[in-house]
Amino acid sequence: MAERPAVIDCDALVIGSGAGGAVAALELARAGRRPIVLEEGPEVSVADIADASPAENMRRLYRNAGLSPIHGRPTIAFGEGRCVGGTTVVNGGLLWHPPADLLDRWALRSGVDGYRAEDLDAHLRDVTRRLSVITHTERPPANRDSRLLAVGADALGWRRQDARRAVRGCRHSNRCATGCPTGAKQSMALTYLPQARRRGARVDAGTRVVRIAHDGRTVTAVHAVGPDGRRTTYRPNVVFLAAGALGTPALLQRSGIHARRAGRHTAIHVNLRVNARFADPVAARDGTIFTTQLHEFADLGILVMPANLTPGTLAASLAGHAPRVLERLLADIDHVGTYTVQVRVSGSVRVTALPAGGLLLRHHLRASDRELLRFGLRQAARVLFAAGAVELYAPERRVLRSVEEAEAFVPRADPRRWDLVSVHAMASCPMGLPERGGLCDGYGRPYGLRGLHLCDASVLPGATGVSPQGTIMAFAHEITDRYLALPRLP
Amino acid sequence: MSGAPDLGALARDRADRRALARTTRALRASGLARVWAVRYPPLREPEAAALAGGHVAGSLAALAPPYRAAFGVLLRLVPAAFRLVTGRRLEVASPEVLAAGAGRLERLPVLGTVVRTTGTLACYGALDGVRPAVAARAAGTELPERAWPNDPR
Repeated sequence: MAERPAVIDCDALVIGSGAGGAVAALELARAGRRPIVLEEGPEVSVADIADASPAENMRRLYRNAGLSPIHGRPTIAFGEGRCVGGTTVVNGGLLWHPPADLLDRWALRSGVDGYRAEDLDAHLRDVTRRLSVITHTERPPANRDSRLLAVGADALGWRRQDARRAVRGCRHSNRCATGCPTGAKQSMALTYLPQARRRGARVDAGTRVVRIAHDGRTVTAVHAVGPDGRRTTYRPNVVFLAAGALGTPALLQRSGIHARRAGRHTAIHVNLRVNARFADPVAARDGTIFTTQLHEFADLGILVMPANLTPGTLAASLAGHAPRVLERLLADIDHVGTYTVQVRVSGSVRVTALPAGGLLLRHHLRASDRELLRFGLRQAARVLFAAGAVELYAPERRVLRSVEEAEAFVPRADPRRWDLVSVHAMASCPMGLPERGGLCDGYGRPYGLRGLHLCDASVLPGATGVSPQGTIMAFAHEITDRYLALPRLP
Repeated sequence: MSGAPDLGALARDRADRRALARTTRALRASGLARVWAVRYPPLREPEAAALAGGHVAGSLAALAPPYRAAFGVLLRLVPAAFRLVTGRRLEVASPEVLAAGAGRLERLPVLGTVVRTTGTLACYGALDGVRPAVAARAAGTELPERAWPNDPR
């Protein structure tokens, strides 16, 4: 006979501990609601991260070890954190304010007001203060990859922006993407969650939520499986769902809540990695991921920025090239800088929860997206050659040695053959009026259901174009504040 | 080998360990380690090859069950597919045949994705799979970078 599940009554339950869930946890704890936070992944300390290899951290801090495939042409690898602190543990620590004009467009399109720049300003200031957000300037002789990007941008007269990052006392360890080994990055695991715990929150790591039970009008329970495989039923007064832009719609589907619409049109940013070899040493391994971003094409949703460079990431990105190319570039790694072209695509991703567990993700990139990717590669080539690059390791195993070669290659290149990754997904359960495609209201409540608030990247009305952590946190603060301002039901 | 990760210790429970054992067996049956040694020069050293295999198996074991199962089946199909595209057996093929055969496998639908993905993982695991020899310094308490002009602190 199966063991009966344990039953836990609680006031507030938060599902997920990333940028959305941690904000909800802290705000609820500050209001004396003693929330329980359920996190599917493990709790990993800074010391544990520091002691492990990057590859080990990749396997234990990322969902599917960073290998979640988004099917389509090409298959895109999606990476998101799966640990206490969520993706904030493995991202670059970038924290941008959402552009005011973007928030205005979202308000007009969604029909939901109260999320414009002036409404979110106080939240963003609070986030900035709590996460010690600073403008990360250069630290010669390190960060030469960033400085070279700045040189190229200045030579072309293009706009660039110093990176704003949530770090304190960064040691430039070059391991942001596999967890900061020094504790400098101000992830949710080191900031919001400890503060929430001090105010009465509890974090249950290794606990996977399998279903949200409801009677068609109100949430009645949340069923979860703990790290020991034991089933637990939580009976909260309110649930804040922050399982991420993919996890949240999947859980809604499994729970029969807007199952047909949740996750149907998920927005993503797509990243293309380009390695550049310079005549002079770059020593890109000594530095942060980036201190400069190229913003000249930000209006088109295209950013270019340096990326984390290690022997492993370099070899992995060159795996399709001839053995001699791989060998030569690894031997010359101190002359290599790695750059990412990030593109906000208009084609969306469909999320489908599989019955046996896991997700089926399928993208529908459009011809216009492929054109944007080509355009992004072309501009990256221009800026890197202007910065002094002597060789560019482009997609389709091409080695480009001049702007002219790049100009000749790009029009014939086919992004359906490129190795693309994505680390930003949003808008899978967008906030908005139902007749405008919205799935939840301005309180994050899915239409027709009480006791549930969506509180993560899934509620954003569209793609941000910039790293979304700041936007997610501001929305989460606003959603939680609005909930706490509601009169409490008996 | 001091730098190798203890994958068994990383596996949190019995189900994880079973998954890891299955993917390790499937990977061994695929014979892809021979292909990697030809295509990726840094993986020719036994230590690097062990790290590569450990990372590939560990990563596949971390996948959701449907994907894990699919990878397991497809990895076991690699030797047969290799024989079909080259006419030679993978386990005794010469380096030239291995390189050419792997290139043809990579162009196949589905199986090509498996071969490319595992190759990429192998490269990453071999070179970034070594634990740091020197302990990382703790974050500084100083704030050397400038704060935002509008930083409210």
